[in-house]
Amino acid sequence: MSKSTTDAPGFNKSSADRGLSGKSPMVVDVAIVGGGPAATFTALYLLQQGIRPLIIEKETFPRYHIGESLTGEVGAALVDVGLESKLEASNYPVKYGVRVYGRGGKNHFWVPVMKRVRPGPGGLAPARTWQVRRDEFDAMLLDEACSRGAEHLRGAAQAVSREGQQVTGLVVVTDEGPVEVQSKVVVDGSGQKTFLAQQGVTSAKERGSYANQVALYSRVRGEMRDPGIDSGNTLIFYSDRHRWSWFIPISEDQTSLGLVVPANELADSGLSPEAFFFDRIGSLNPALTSRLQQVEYTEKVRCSSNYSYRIQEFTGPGFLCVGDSHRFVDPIFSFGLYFAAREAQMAAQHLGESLRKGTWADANAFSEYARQVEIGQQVIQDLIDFFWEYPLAFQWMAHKTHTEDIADCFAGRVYSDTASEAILAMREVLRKKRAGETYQPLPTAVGS
Amino acid sequence: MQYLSELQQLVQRVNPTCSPTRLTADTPLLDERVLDSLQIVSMIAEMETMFGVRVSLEEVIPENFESLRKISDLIQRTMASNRSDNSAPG
Repeated sequence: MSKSTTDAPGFNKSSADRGLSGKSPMVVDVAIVGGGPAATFTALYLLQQGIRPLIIEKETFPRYHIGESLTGEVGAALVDVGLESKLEASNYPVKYGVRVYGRGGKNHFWVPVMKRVRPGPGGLAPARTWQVRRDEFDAMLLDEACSRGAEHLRGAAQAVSREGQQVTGLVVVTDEGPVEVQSKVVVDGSGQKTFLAQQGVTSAKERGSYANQVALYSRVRGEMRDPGIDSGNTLIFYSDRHRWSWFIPISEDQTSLGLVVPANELADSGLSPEAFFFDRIGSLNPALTSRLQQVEYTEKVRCSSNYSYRIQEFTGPGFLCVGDSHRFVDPIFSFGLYFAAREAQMAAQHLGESLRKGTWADANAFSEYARQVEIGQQVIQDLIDFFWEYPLAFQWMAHKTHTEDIADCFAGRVYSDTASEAILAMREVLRKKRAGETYQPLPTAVGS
Repeated sequence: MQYLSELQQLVQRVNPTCSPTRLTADTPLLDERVLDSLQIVSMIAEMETMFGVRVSLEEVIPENFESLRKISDLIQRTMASNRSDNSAPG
């Protein structure tokens, strides 16, 4: 445990007096499973309301993680939780936008990081954000949450306690033995481990549209970046449908390099993941090949598969999920950290309200949170689906007809109750294309 | 085919290195790399102004830009569909 709980208003005295080896349960308002950004942003937002959560994470940070790119609006979340100066003082590469190279490497389009200074047409201004080294970034968030009053229990959440449908706590396995945690609300910030889904608390995990993809990744040194201030930008290269690569500069001399392809291509190749990665990364797109002439690999090749999923019922009495713990779409446009930060903000707001009103155990305690979160996730899902189905039309919209709407999406302004004209147009085209298939409508507002 | 000379000029406008008379109705514009996707996007914009049409999103697919004949078909189809949209009740 990295912080004493004595006098912490979020903790019951009995927990404050209890050692890890003791048998009495820890009693907390909010127990957060996981120590990554979904968990720690939730903690930081809760701390702003004077709620001191318990963070349950067994891994020692820093630890390796991909998903290094921030969208424009993550910057706003970092300002919100008072961490902007830490980011400014860091030497993380500055990102001004994303350049996407099409098949053959000859064409590309550019989506700049833009902030909205006023609503409506012409209301965008150039902005910037960062690429972060997730080992350091995630450790910084966890340290910050703990230094502000969150408690870190080093252990693995193993089981949930329930009374009927209500989640009332957890059993956590620590080096010193099992610890019982009693909570008003359990927040799942466990990422792709999807803890509450594994426990059967949420509805079942459904395969997403990109579930048959595999990602292989490493880090390189000596790659060719864009010159000058553009050297920190994200580059995306694609070849055929659902075959793409990311190029994310994460320090002065290292770049995160990834390859995403249908998983059967790796299986059918008969190659090891590493050999397959080197083979395909060199031939995916000529615009990428030319940037990798002199590279040295500084990390082993890692592999993640079966990573696209959705959980439809991810809130309920005494629990809610934040970020990857309930949904993961194709990561091509770097929304992972953004969803974590923004959903954490919304979750903390609803959590705070439920604790103040005493409604955390109600059946629909967090359904308004779920509705809001799904609006944003669905916008991004549709944006990415449309990109893969209609890359030329996507480029047409990004360059000519809906430049601002698309810049808004890429920044993360995706939670409006009314979808932008661009998203409505994309949905209409996708709906027609899928006529005959079942189209998933957005969940409707509770009580509406 | 209709609009051959207009379309030859249009292609030249978005790709000045291309000689308009070299293009026949069936020259494969994409396979021979006469047009890349950025140039197609510019051409759609010019086409919309020149012919007073609004190309629907689902028509913005590479197959419709494979040759001048395909583009001509697209324009005629779009004109017809724009007309029926405009005359639709309500």
